[in-house]
Amino acid sequence: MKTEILAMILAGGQGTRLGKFTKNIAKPAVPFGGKYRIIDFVLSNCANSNMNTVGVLTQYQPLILNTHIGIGSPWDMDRNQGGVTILQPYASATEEKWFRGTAHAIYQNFSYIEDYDPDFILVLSGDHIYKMNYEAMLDYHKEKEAALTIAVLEVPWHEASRFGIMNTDQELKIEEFEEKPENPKSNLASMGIYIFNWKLLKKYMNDNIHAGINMDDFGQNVIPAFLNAQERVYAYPFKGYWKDVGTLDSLWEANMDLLDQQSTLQINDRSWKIYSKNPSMPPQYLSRTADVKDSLVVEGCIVHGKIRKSILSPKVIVGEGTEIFDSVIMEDVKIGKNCIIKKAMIGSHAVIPDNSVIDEKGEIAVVGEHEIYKEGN
Amino acid sequence: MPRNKLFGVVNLTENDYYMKQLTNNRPLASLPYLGRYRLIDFTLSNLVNAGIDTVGIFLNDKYRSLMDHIGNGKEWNLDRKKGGVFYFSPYATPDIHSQQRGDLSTYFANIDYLTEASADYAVIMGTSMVCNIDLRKVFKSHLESKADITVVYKTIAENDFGFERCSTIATNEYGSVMTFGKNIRRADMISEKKKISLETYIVKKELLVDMITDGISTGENVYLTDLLHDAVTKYKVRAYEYKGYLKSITSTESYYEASMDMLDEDHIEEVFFGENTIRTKVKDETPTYYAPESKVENSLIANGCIIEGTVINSIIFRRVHVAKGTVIKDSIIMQNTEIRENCKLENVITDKQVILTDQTELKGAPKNPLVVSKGSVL
Repeated sequence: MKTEILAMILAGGQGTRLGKFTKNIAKPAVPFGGKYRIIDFVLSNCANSNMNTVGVLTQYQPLILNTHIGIGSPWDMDRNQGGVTILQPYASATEEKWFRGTAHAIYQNFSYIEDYDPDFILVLSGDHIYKMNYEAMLDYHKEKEAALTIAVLEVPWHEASRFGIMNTDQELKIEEFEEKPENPKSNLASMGIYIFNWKLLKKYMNDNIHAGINMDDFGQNVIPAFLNAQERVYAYPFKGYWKDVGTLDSLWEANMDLLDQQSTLQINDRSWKIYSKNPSMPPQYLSRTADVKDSLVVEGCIVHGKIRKSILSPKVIVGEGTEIFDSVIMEDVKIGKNCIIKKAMIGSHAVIPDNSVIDEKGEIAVVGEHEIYKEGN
Repeated sequence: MPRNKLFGVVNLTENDYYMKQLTNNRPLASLPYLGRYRLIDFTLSNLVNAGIDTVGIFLNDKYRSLMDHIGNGKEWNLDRKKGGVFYFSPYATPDIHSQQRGDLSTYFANIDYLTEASADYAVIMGTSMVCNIDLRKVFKSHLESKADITVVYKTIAENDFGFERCSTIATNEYGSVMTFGKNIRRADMISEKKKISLETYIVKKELLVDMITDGISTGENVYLTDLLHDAVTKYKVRAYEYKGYLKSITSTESYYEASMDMLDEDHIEEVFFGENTIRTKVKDETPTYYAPESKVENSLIANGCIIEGTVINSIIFRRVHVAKGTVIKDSIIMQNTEIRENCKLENVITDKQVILTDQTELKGAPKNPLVVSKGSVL
């Protein structure tokens, strides 16, 4: 079963900085934008880039993530050959194989990769919001005859010290990699998207691990190993919307970005659809008392209240007299009458009783999944 | 050997004469309804929700859009190794090579579907009745009554002028069906409660096969519906009363009325949020965006729309763009329609893929909505 390129999506991250939202679900499975989960973006990018053999590496709280991906039908990945495969850590006869880092997770699944005998492997993160054509990146990788290509994004200079920064020559050949440098020499940040020549990756990882050298992390260990060995490592410049939604602030911001009709993300572009699991719901019903402006609403919602700059997910019910501003309401949330909700993120299946006021005065208010909101909690 | 199981027979011989342009290029079964559905979604969902895994659809002409919509039946979990969805189109066999009359010859030509079905009882349904019915209850009642045929009906009030031209039943004191008739009502006629047939039947497989074979050999009936109605003279036909939500769609007026009737939270809850879900083909549309200048009241709106104008008492299907300054009232706008700036629409039904250019004004009447044909540019 030879395949040219195999995609491996790292989806094991715990995402502790997302607080209540990752208590029971892995970060890539966190609901986003009304009808998506974060991982839908990378899976849809794969589908739209003709990457049809995809391994998803899960570890932390995988139940909802695994159910969501299933056999991959929403992304046309229910295939006779290839398709999507969930890769869980497992115990072998000699050791327990928990993933210790990004590269270690791939290393633990070498046997899965070998089955497809790929020329290249594409390593992706399951928790970024962006649209990217990986096929174009593969063409670039081949054209540069690179051993490793790393997708990079120009970040504002004052933020560069928060990222892994690539220092390149004029041909975009990477000369040096600096993880969170104090005085960055470049503003090209790694997006955590790599294309490796599989044979070389296998060789460096096996050789170094046998020599007792730590190869757990791509940024810390693998990229430096390639650079030290004078391999051709290239930066692939990406332009467009990209967001790592690792914190509550960035998750909220990324949701709000969807309301911007000028956003470069353009989720309503027909030629690059974002696919997800679609629930069987009737159209959204806006009643005589509803007043919805500058907001995104999806099927199955029933709205009687006032909504401004907010996102409502399937089956959300908003009672009469309630006012919601700058908020993200996840699936199946019941909001009673005469509530005021400002800058909040409300987890799936939560219940907000009548007359509740949720307002953290400028901070993001969070109501967890299945929580029945009580003021003062 | 599985016993006492049901399989589905979907009968698409339905009167669409009064649907105007809406059924020019599609059967009634694939008429878009309520923002994201097609009429057959209700039929298929009702069948599947009763645990049925084998459904035969007996097609007439114009079935392209239906095949496109249902495909292998995946959305209804009908993509099965055992069972699944089967399509039967009218064709001439060497036995019946004369010109097709009625649909009975299609059933006869495909009689193997019935004789070889692994279930014992057929549920026969059409697609013009919008309901969310628990067929398991109908089946239980059928088995208990030991009837040959069970037909489902709903009692409608004296002042209900819907269900025009639908079949009615008359029953005796024991609940047996004596006759089938037609629901003809006029405002000036003294009216009474009526029992409207949902054209939903449960019948034992062998009996159905015998009836169809008899029908062909005697030539007494050329339509399956007539055959089932005439069965009252020979067989024990019982009536089962359905008490839930029901609308019939037999004309543009009734289509319009049945759509507007769903602008009611109680009706939405009853039909869509009960135990049994109505499934349809999914399209991966984005959430709908309501612009700062939009105004929407008492409307059902599907995903993938951009609403910048005013929408009141209307139904908007998937991927419709309502531009600034436009006012849509009491109207139905089907999928992929673009309504540009400063248009005024009232009591209008626009079919799919219509473009209304700036300042278009269209006005129909509540009892006679204006229909704009598929793909029109005005």
